Amino acid sequence: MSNSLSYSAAILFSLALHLVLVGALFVDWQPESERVMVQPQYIEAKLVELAPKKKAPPPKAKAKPKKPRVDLAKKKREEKKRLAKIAAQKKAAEKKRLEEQRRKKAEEQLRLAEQRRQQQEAERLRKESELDQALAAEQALINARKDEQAANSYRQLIRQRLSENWSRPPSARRGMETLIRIRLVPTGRVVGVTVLKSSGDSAFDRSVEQAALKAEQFVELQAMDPALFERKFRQVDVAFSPEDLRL
Amino acid sequence: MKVTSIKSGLSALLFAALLAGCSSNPVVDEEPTSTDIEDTSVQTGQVDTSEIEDVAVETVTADTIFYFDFDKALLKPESRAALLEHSAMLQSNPRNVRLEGHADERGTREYNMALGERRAQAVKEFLVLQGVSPSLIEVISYGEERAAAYGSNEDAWGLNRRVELK
Amino acid sequence: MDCQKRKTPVSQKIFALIILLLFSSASHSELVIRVTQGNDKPTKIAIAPIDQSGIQSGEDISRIIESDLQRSGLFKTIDRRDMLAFPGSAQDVYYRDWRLLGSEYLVVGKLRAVGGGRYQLEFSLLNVTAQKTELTHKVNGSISQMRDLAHLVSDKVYQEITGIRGAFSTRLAYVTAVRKNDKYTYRLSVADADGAREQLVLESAEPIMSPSWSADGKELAYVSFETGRPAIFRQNLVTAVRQQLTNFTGLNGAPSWSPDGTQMALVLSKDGNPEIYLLNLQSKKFTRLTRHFAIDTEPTWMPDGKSLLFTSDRGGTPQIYKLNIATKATERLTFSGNYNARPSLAPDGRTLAMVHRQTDTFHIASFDLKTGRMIELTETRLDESPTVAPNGAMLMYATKQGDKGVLAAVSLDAGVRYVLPSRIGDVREPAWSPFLR
Repeated sequence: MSNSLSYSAAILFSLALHLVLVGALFVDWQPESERVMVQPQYIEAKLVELAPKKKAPPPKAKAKPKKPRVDLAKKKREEKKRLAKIAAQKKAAEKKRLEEQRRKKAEEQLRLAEQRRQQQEAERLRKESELDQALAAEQALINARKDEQAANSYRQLIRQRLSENWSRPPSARRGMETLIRIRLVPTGRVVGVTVLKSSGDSAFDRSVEQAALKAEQFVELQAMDPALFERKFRQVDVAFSPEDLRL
Repeated sequence: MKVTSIKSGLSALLFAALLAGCSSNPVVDEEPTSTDIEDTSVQTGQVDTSEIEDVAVETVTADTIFYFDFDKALLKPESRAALLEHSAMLQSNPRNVRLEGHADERGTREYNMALGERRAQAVKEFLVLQGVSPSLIEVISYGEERAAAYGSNEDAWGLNRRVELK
Repeated sequence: MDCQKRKTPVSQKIFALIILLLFSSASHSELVIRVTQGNDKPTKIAIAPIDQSGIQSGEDISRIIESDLQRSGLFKTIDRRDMLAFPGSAQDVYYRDWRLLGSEYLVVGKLRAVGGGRYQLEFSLLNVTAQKTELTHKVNGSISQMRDLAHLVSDKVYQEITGIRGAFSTRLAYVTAVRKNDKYTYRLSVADADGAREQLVLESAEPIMSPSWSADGKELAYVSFETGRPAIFRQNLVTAVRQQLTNFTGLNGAPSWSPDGTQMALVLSKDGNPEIYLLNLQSKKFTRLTRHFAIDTEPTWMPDGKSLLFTSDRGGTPQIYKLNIATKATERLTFSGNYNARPSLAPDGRTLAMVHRQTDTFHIASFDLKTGRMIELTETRLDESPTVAPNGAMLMYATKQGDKGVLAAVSLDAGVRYVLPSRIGDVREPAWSPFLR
């Protein structure tokens, strides 16, 4: 019963997780766009540096007190040239900028693609890890069950040994029950017996204690996984309630 | 007259037996007690028969033992036939009769005492019905205590489920 | 990778939780091991020879104890020849010596003279498995009471281990019939529960039947044919004083002492057929209790003294009925089987032993007055006269071995059975005394 419950719980959880993931997909856009913004600034900075190199010299030539006779036509031609140069420069700069933009776009696209790929990869890995976790959980379940099976087979052994050693007194009746706690060590030896719940009949209680003491040692427990022993067999509670008596 | 003398002899012997019985203590004093009582019963039987013979009633060929089925006190047809003869004889020559009832070993002892008595009563009732005076008939039961045949089988048991007319 | 972890911590936690839940449900102590069957072997017990320090008692006390415990069917004694030592007290005991023999318990004891012709037996019961002393006790007695001291040890040991009072200090009354050349000798005797110290109560050439103990264990009532007819007598076992109680024609039988000792229930057929009467032992007055043309016999008292159980065939076949002494009302109790007779009540007031026939064999059966459940106890044939021990642990009855009448014992749950050592002749009609101490 607990199995189907945990299964459905697991299904629900993985569904929720998938939803979370899908949501995460959209949520994750925002940090990316922040990064995108940073890059262009970096590129633009380069452009900015080119221009000041040309402008720099003129401020240095501060010998301005002489006012040489300027040939207007020459000035105009020079101005034209200069303007043309500037225009050409501007064009070139514009071309470069456009190229840069294109390059930037291409890079951008590459980056996007890369991002997408990374995202897909991440998602794939996430899914994988989800699967891994699901498998791990299932494995844990299987291991738990195996442990339980192993524990059960040891319990069965203990039960049989105790039953073989249990001689009931004549006052024993169906319906009587004594609960004892047996303390064991990893060698399987019985090191202590305590009555947790008495049957009300002292001879019956004693017969139960004797059974545990007579069993003495469950040698087979030495083959048990030590962790399992610690978890479940350091202390064993046993209820004795006869069902095979005539009276 | 001889009947009365036997009666007093009987009672004297019975008295002696009673005294002997009372005197038995944890000390073993076997011979006198048992012998006396045994002689009594044996003698009684012998004396009775000889008396009957003396009276010269020859029809003693009729059975004196009547048998019964398990846990039953019903007279069988052959018993009735024999008892008719006895009743006739007893009416013409009255004498004291002792009917001893018995049972086989199966079942409990006291219940078998009652069963033996019931059987003897059945015989007495039949005789009384035929006209025999009831005061002549004594009924006593031995239950399973006085077996006629030994063994735990149907044959022995059949022989023990009886009433003896004495 | 780190991002992913950060992204999905919740799901991992949930998975971990599921696993934890599963694990915890598995290791929860509600999965208690349940033992529902046992292996009722006799408990192994060693009775070390009592240290009698040279006192010539004429009895081997340890042997008597061994025999008592073995006879109960619940113990198996260790052979003396296997014992490595004969300790006289708990401090001299090396538990390992006794563990090696497989013994669960050990009894040790010392006998000492204490002056004035008296002797003291100090004994201990030790639990070898648990390695501890369960009890130590002292008893005193004269030289002729050694058997009684031994039985007392058995009583105490038995009670300590089983929780039930021991009945080893009780006695048995019984009838023997010896046949010689078609002549019978009947004897009524009383012996210790183990058959020792047999004492003759009555000897006769005529049948003796139905011995019944008084509640104080001092007297016997019985039926004797010594007068030529069955009559009821009472006899004091100590003084041997006898008294004839009935002398009616017809049946005089099945005497049964009331629990308070003032009355005797018995059977008389003087009024036409076997009926049950009460005899007041003081006033000698008879009171008739049953009025039916059927056979009513074998009365036995309920512990409260207000009702009787008896056998009657008023229903067609012998069955057990209950009679209210005050109202004389009767009630049928048994409906299983075609023959139920000779009720004998166990001290619990609830279990009834009787002779029972289902098909064609007579067995002893136990009947639960509360539930109406009938259990056949014996596999022997032609069983009769069941008598229950005053501790309810055992019942004795008469049966046949071949052609010979013998006494046999069986426990009320049919777990223990044995046949008593045979005596000369037939033994029958056992009656178990009440507790005598």
